[in-house]
Amino acid sequence: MKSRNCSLFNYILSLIILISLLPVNLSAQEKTLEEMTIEELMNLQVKTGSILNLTKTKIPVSLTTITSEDIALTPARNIADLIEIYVPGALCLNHTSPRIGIRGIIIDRNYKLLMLVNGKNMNQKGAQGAALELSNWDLNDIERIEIIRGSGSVTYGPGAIAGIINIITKTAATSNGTSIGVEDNFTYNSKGGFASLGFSAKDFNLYAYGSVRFTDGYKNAEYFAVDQNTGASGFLNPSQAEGVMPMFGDNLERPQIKLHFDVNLFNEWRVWARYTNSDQPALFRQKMTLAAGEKVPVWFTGQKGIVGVLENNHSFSGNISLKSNISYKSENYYDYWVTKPLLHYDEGGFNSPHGAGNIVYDFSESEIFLSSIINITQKDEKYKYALGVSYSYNRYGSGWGNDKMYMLSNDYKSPDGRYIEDIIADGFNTNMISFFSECNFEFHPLANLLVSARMDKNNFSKYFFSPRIGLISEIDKDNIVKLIWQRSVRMNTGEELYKEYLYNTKANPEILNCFELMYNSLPTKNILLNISASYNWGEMLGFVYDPATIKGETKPIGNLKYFTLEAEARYKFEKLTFGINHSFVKQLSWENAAGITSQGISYADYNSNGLLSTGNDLNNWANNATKLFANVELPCQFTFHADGQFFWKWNGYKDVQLMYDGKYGNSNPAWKLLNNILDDENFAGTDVKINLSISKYFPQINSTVSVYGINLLGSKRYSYSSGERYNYPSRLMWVNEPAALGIKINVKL
Amino acid sequence: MTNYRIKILFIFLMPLCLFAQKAKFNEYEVKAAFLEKFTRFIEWPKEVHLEDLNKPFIIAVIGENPFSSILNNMYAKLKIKNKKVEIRYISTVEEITDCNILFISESEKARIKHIISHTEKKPILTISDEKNFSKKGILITLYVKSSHISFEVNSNAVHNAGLYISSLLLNLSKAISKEDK
Repeated sequence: MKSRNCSLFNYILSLIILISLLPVNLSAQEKTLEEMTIEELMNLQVKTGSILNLTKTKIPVSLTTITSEDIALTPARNIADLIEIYVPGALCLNHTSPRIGIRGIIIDRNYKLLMLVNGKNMNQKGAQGAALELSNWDLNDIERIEIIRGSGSVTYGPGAIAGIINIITKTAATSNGTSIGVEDNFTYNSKGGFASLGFSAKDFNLYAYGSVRFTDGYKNAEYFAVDQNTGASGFLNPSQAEGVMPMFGDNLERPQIKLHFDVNLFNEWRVWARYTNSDQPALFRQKMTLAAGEKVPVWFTGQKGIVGVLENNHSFSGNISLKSNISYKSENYYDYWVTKPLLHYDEGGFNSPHGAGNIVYDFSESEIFLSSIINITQKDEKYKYALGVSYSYNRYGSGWGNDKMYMLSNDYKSPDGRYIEDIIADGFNTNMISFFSECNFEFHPLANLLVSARMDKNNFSKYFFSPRIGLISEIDKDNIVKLIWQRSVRMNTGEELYKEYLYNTKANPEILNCFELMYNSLPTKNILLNISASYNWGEMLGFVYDPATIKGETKPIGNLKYFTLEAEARYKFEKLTFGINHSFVKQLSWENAAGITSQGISYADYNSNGLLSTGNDLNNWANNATKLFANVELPCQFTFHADGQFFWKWNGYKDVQLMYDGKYGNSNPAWKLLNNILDDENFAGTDVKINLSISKYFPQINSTVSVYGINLLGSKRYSYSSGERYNYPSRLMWVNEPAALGIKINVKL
Repeated sequence: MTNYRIKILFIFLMPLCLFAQKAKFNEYEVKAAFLEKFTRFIEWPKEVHLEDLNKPFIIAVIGENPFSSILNNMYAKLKIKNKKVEIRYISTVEEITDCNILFISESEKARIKHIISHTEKKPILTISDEKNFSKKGILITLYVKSSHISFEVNSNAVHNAGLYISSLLLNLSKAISKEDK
């Protein structure tokens, strides 16, 4: 088996190299554009312009774009906030770091999302998925963020069940000259600054960027928690001896740093490199006194990563082009959940991570990635075709600067009784090969057929196949209807694939099927309307721990069917931009897989510790989300921004209360008390978040000063719940996020 | 043949419907080249002082930049009216002030009137590739027809701007006159 994989990989590698070495220009023009006459320019055929260079309205996806102008005006701490503000239905829950949910899909790790930077997959394939980039509080290097709602694996990679977040960074073309800026968020005591340089010359463009951000965190946040054994509940008290972890404070006083470097040569070659880190946990616990007397947070988490990419975009002739890239990425992720005060922490990590009950991740993931996509366009652009192949080699090893790798919880032993960490102490490797193809047939403006397919194979997995068929009908220039069927397959994490190898199993992948109908319209020149309805069904995977065998692995946990409806309107007039969107997500059915009695997706099929099936809604989800935003240009160069998010009908959370009512009725005083507290705290009630900013531009010094307020009404931020299975609902945790104020000053020199 | 091989075959067979055709440039590379060509047929009034070679010829792009780095690359050496060319990417109308060519991006649909109110009757060559802009008072509109770039000139708007346009350019263009308004 190994040798067969090996030869396949060798073959593909050879193919990529061969394609890359094809002659540089198969059809050189006699004259350059600069040398041609205006008549010659008029006689030239041009290609207009995604894998197929389709215009955005014709792409068969639901897309939200957050521009640099939106980012400059919006009071957002990080990308997770921006997504929650602008993307219909999207919400963010706390866990070790922010967890993003799109269209009803959310889990305790962000591996159902794909995080891309300039199209490059930045997901941590080992365990966490989209972790890097999401928590960094500096957003000044971002030109725009494109978010695709719903599954999109076929185009972007085997992980995009919930959605795709693509960050497009600034370049010399979009940010020429020198810019500097500073920001102070007073409430979180977060201070930082950035500097950027964009330089353009003939055949050479350079963009360099650096930022640093120090965040102490908010020290008086109210964290609500419930004791799973007694039902005692309340807000953790910062005045207690150990204190409470500061909200979004940098672990071990490690600031967030971002560095970015981008060079474009001859309008064909691009080299870019990027370093990002974040050491901010988003789950809050009481601090703990270690044996050495040190008071530490009980949860440390963070990640840092570096990537370097070489891209080539070559046009052999006007209708054949080849996009190739080679990249190296390395990431260090750590997550220490200290449940026993036996340890001492130093820069190398906990010196005794095998302490019973301590869950430890500390590993690095390094990747070499090669990809080539050839695009062919037929005359008149009636037929377009793209074919791509990519290969990635991933090495999982010890964390940067450490000599040991900790990846799997030490609660779980391998079949031969050894701890997993011991087995993988030297790390492991995976290889993945992918083929993808897309074909567009424009028979008629009313009938544009797009057929896409993708196949992925990891050396520990089966072959995964993700197809998509889209019918796009351009009723007229301003009205487009799209009907899409797609099947999105998610490649499991490196950690789980390696377990399958150890346990000699090969689980079926997680698959989400979707029918989606979209309508995009421009009823007037100033109004944009988007409506989307989708029906989704698939077999969900989840982490299942078997105490009998002391084994835990990701397995199918049930079948989900749900429906989504999203409507979005944007109005843009001279000095006013206004947007409103609404998302409705309704679970149609949930059935546990054989042997599964509890899980975090829904309480509709449940049988654990006397807790029985209740309701028919998604857990960790608000069925309705309405979002609004407005930017108004005021006299004297002032610009006002307001946005609001209203999350309502948290029916899945309400099901928890009903489920415990079903278990205890009025017979349990502790539950009765807790239930009353939950009602008093408006648990699972409508959640409202309001952000405002006002900016003034000073043309004489080319500077903008913004004063902003985040979450001005105060609101709850729930933690992700993986389902209830104890005497009392201990997963009902939230933090009352504070209203925060801040200022930022940007100067273009 | 196993299932996955059939799938691989499916992926690879899709291109059979295609036919290779002759060379084409990227749309915005060609549009970028058009900017310089237009200036050969247009005269700016004396008060603009284009004869002052110490000052650059300024091309500004307002709104989303569809050219990526094409303009910067092309005009790093290419001169207009024997002057060095400066490319500016702007977002507010207040930044328009001293530019010679203003390319108005399609993203500016909603505030096109607002932009034109800042440019009309000023010697600024406004160019766009949004076809509906031409009747709003944009001087030159570039558009793609059958994979070729064409353009139309709004001669009234040119006159109002105080620019002189050569009949040679008008002959190559689709003219927009009062009747088309």
